[in-house]
Amino acid sequence: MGTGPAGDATRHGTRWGPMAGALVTSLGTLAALASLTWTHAFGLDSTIIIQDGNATFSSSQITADDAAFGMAPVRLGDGTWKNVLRAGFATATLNGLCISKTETVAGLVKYTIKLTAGDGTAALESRANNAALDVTSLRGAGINLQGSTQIGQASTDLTTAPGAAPYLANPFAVPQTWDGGFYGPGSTGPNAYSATGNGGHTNGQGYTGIDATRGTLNAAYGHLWQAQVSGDITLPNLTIKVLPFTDSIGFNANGTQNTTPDGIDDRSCWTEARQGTYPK
Amino acid sequence: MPRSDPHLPGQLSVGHQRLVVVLAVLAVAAAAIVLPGPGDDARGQAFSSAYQPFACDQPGSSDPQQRRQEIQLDNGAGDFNAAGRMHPCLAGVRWHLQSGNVATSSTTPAIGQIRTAYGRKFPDTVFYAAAGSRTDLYQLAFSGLQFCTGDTTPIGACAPAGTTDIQLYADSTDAPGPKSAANYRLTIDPDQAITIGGSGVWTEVLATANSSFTVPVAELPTATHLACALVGGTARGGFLGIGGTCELSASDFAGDLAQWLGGGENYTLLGVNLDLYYLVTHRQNPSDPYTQIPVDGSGNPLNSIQLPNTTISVS
Repeated sequence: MGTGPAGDATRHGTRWGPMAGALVTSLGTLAALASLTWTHAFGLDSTIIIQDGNATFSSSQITADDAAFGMAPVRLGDGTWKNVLRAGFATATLNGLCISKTETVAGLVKYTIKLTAGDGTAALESRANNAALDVTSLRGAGINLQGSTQIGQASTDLTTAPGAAPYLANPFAVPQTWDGGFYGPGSTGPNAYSATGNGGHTNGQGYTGIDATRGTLNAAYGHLWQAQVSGDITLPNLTIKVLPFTDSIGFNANGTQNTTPDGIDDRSCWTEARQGTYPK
Repeated sequence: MPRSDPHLPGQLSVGHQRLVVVLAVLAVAAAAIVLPGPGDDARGQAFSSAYQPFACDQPGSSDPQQRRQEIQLDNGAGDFNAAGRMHPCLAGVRWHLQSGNVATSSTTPAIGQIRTAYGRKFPDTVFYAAAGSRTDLYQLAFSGLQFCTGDTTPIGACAPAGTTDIQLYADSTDAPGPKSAANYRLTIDPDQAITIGGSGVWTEVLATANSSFTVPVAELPTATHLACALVGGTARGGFLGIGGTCELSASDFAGDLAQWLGGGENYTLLGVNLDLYYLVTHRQNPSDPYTQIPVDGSGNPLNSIQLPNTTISVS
C-alpha cells in the first residue's frame, strides 16, 4: 500500500477529518486483499460495468495462455451499445500493471485514480485467471500470437476458459440471440444487432475475432472501458493514488509529444507509457 | 490544509469532495477487479463439443452445429486432403490484408516473401454464423509469409526498414445481417513488418476470387509472361515477354497449372491484396489442428502471428 491516496489528495486540498480514517481503512482493505490472492473477495456477480472510456492501462508484459481478441458490444448507461475489442485470457501473467481513470464531477472537478502493481523487477509477478479487458485502442511494442491462430470466427466461438478442453461456450458473453432490445426480450430499445434472423439465433454474426493458443504483449497500453477477472488475481505491491487532474503533456496524432492538452492526465498510465514508462 | 487549490475550485463541499474521491476509488477498484461468478478429445476431423462448445445453430435443424463451417486443410502438397479440419463459426466479416501494389510493373521494391503456395476453389458452401452463405470463395494455403523487416530481410529486394506499409483491418460494413447494430472497423496497424505464418508455419485463408498477389515473372517456372497468362494471371512490365511482374488472383491461382508455386522455392512478393473471411495457422499436414499446435524443434509454440510496434484500434 502506497502513501499516495490520502497523501496526494490531502496535499491538494481535501480535508479528510473523520472521513480519512474510513478512506484509509477501505484502501487498506484493498491493499491487504491485493497482497493476497483475490478469490471472489467482493462476491460480485459478472455485472458489466461500463465506464465512459477515459480509463487507461499499461503493462511491461502480459503473457497469456488461451488468448483471444474479439469484437463485442457493451451496453452503455443510456441503453445504447458500443463496439469494443475484448481481449480475454484463460490465464494471464503480468510484469507490472497500471490502471488509471479520470473522473469528472459536476463538469468541473477532475480527479485521476491510479492503480499500480508490480514488484519492480522484470519478473512476471502478477497473475489473473479468466481475465478480460475491453479496449478501444491497444498499443504493443510486440504482440505475438503463438500456436494455431484463427481469424474470422464469430466472437461467440472464441475459446479461452478454462484454458484447456473442454472449453466453455461463448466466454466473452457476446449476445447470441435477438433479445428484443436493451430492456430485455419482447421489449423495444436498442439492440446489439442490426436485425434479427435465423429464428432469433444471431450467434454472434458480425462480431469477428482472433483466437490464439498463447499470446504475449510487450510494453502494452491502451484505452480501457472495462476489466474483468472471474478467477483469482494476485497484484503484489498494489498502490492506489488519487491525483488532481493535470494535463500539460499532449501528443500529436503521430505520437509526437507536445504541450497541447489532449484531455488525458499527465500521470495516466497511457501518457506515461507514451513517454516510455511502464509499470514493472 | 490549503483550500485554494486551482484543481478544486470549491464548488463542492468538503463532504462532497470526500464522497467523490471515495466513490472514484471504489469505481476504479471495481472497474479494475470485477469478480464475477462464471465443454474429450479434439480429433480435428470432426466437430467436438469440447473444442467447439458454442452452438452455431439453425433453429429447426436437428444438427446443433448446423451453421458451423468445416474446412479441410492442405496436406502440404496442394491436395487439400489433410486429415485435419477446422470447424469455425464464421462471423461473416471481411478482413483485408494489403501491402505493396499488386498492379506494379516493377520488380522492386519487394514487400515480402512467400514460400510454397497452393490454392483451390473452396468446394463447399460457406455459411456464416446466423444467416447468409456464399459459394464463391477460394482456399489458399501457403507457408513462410514474411514481410520485409529491412532492406535485405528476408530478401535483398526488400524496401528499406520501416517503409513497408501493411494494412490489416476487419470492416463490418458489408457483412450480411444480422450483424452488429453499429458498423465498426477493427484496425491492426503495425509500424513495421509483421509476420503471419512465418518459417515452418502454414497459413490458410478463405478469400474472395479477386484476392491477389504479385510476384516477379523471372521467378515463374519458365520465366515468361506466357507462363503467367496460361493460368489467367496478369503480366505487366518487362520486355518481349520476359521480366516484369505477374499478378495472380485467387481464382487464377486455384487452377492446376498454378501448382508450380508449390515447388518449395521462395517467391518474392511485390504486392498482396487479400479479402478474406477466415485465416488459420497450423503445422504442416495436421491430423488434429486443435491439439497439434505448430511448434519449433524444442516443442515451443511458434510465433505464428507477430505484430511488432502495433496499434490496434476500434472505430
